[in-house]
Amino acid sequence: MHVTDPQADVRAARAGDRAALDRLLAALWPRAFRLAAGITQHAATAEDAAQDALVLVATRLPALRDPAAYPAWSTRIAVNAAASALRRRPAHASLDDDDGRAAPGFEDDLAERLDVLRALGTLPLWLRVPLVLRYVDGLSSREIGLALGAPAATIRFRLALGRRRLAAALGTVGRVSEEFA
Amino acid sequence: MTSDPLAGRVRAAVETFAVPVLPAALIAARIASEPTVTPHRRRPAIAIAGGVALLAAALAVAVPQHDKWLTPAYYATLKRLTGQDFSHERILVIDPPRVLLAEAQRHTRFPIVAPRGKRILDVHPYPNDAGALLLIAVDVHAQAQLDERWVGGKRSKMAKQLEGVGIRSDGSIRRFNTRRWRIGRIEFSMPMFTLEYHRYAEEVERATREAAAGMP
Repeated sequence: MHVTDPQADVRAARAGDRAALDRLLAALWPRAFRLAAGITQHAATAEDAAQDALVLVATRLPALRDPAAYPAWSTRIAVNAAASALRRRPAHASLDDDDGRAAPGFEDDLAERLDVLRALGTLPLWLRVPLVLRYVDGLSSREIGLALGAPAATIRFRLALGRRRLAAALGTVGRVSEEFA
Repeated sequence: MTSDPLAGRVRAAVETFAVPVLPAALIAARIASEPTVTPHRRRPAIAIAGGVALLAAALAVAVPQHDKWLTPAYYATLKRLTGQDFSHERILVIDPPRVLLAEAQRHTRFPIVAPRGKRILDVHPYPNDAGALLLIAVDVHAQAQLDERWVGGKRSKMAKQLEGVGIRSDGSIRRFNTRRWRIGRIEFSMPMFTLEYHRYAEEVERATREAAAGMP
């Protein structure tokens, strides 16, 4: 397996190396999709958002001055693309519209997962985005702060509040698992 | 990764969505059709050095103690009206004081026409011979007072904008004076048209024209 330094790829891609750019985009694709899925809770919308993020990263990469800032920079682009896609998404689109895009093997606890996604969807974006970045991407408060342009202390506050609200929502949203019981 | 119990549930929920295959051809086509952002050019060092040198030169220039935007003519007007020299005062705005009509007529270089039969409380001449405003007592009764402001000479543009009365660019005077009522501490103001003020305005226009033509 060919493993390269992401910063070296960023430098090479800025210099016009197409293969380096492809490697960066291929590495970013699953991350951008999962972040967008966590933010939008809709597979088709998340795929659109991830595509937008990749196009933006590819076209704006020459303007990135510091290659070390690439992780936070690309995360911010992915988050913004997801938020834009969420705003564009028709109001009637919901979790139930996803036409069989669920990963295989999840049927047994799908109801529980839908509960969590619905609860996540009740949070405002300013709480949902840090939670997704922490839980899905595994970023630290400092890294989330860098990506969102906010101090780490602010992110810690948002995470604590978001966690509390998510726990409360999980206790109050209509539980699909109970409805099916 | 975090040890938060919610983390596993959220991660598992998001992983419900299977990551689709990267649509490389579609993205390549979109990238090709989008304009590429050019990198920001760094400011050249010579430009920064030049800016610093200019700033240092600007700071080194001695500035007078008084505020530069108050023109010498402004100070000259103040000196004529008050008899005091304000040219070395570090002040933002010095409003010329309100003076008696005779004093204002002595110090201004344009005619101030006194309306007949009116009691002029005071005159507010504007700096730089920009005009004069007459404060005319109409009625004073206990806590209520009615006075009028008549344009006794040419007006400054700013004063015209503020009060809506004054001389137009062709030299004619607007036929509205400002009537103010004061009841207790509350003041009302309203532009009013009266035949009396119309005739007075004609008189002021004629005096201004004659003064400009050098007639006595």
